[in-house]
Amino acid sequence: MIDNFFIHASTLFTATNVAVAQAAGTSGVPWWIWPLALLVTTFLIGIVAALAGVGGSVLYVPIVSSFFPFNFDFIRGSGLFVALACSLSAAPKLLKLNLASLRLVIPLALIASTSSIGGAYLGLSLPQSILKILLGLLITGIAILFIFSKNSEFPKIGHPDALARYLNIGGAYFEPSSGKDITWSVWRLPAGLILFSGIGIIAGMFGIGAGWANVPVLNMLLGAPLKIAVGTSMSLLAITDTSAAWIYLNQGAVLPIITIPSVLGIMVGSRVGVKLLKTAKPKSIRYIVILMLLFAGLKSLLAGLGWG
Amino acid sequence: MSSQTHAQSIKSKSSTGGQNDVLTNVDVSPEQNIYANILLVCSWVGIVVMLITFIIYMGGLFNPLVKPSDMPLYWKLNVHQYLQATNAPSGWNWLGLINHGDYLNLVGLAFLGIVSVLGYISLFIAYLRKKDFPYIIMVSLEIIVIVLAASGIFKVSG
Repeated sequence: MIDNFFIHASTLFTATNVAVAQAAGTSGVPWWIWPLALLVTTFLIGIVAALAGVGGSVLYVPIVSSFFPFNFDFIRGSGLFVALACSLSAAPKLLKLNLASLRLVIPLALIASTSSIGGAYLGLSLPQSILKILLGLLITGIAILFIFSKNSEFPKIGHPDALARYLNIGGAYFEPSSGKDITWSVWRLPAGLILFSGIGIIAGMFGIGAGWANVPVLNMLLGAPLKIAVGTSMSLLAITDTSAAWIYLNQGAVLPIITIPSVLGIMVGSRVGVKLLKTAKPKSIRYIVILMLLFAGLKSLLAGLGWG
Repeated sequence: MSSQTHAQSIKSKSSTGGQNDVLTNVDVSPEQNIYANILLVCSWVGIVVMLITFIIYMGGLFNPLVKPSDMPLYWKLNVHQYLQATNAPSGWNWLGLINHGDYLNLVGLAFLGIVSVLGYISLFIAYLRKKDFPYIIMVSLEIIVIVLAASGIFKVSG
């Protein structure tokens, strides 16, 4: 049943985007079609993103910039609010379950949010053709990362580094599958801080949440268990994206007619997706997301090169 | 190399008693709980405000300066062209225009942008009480970073 639903959702998603793409070239389309189509599209993105375990804005920015007539500046501004809203709605539960650690979030968020301001500046200063080429390369790279990355549920780590020990980073959570409490810590924190400064720049520059980068760095480099990596990443985004979102808002690059339907659609969609998660097959959904990212990445690349 | 659980046991031996409490206790720390509650309540408030103001705007109420039906003329422009074409204010000057339906929408979005600061203020107070100086400094710096970003002093030339 879920598979059928997902096939229908994918078909609806494709049909919506084809209709939107056709309408984009038609001058007689009523204005209200666009926010409505955006609401439907982001609702479906929210479902797919939750089922595939990715942040909504990593799909939102390339898909909306490929199929909707909005300028790339406004799409990136909206993307940051989409990521911010998703994070704000998910983080409280994760924090209350101890699946996110504020002691780990705070130093990483400080670095990432500071650098995201620089990223926002770059994004608003560079020519859009360059940005689209870079976004195309980035999204294609993320799709390849999804294909080859192998996160570890409980990574093996060495001795926590001096900084992690000084900041007393670590914690414990209850793992229902084993019925045991899992204690954890991290190592290689200085290297993680350097990578998070780069992640912040990318998030601010392209308006995409950075869960796709946060989770591998937290899990594979710092050695946080996968659940902690996902929970901490989700809590981080609320802070990382806030700084960059303010730069876009102050610059006038946030149009409510684009941003608000997007935020509402993706939040409702991700809640529906989480409910479907119990019975869905995440692997097949992940492949569909990879294909969507590859398609959107190549389309953005071609648009940037003036061939799209 | 060791597993996460084992690594913790190594660490625990060399840690002080106070640190062990933080690292091995599955209970959520009070400051984390308060922070989570602030995010939860404030994000819902922000969403409800956004929904209400958006309905007002789409209904053409409160005399929007740029009507929703005119937006297709502008949303294709880049941000610099858009600001020139609509005489839109930059920075916080939009606050003076919230009697118009389009700028009223920004209230909910701006509120979402200060939720993290509200949470961080609660963390600042909690760490101050604990005299946890590294975290007092980091939380203070984060508040400063977000406030500076929100202040509008950083401007991108068109």
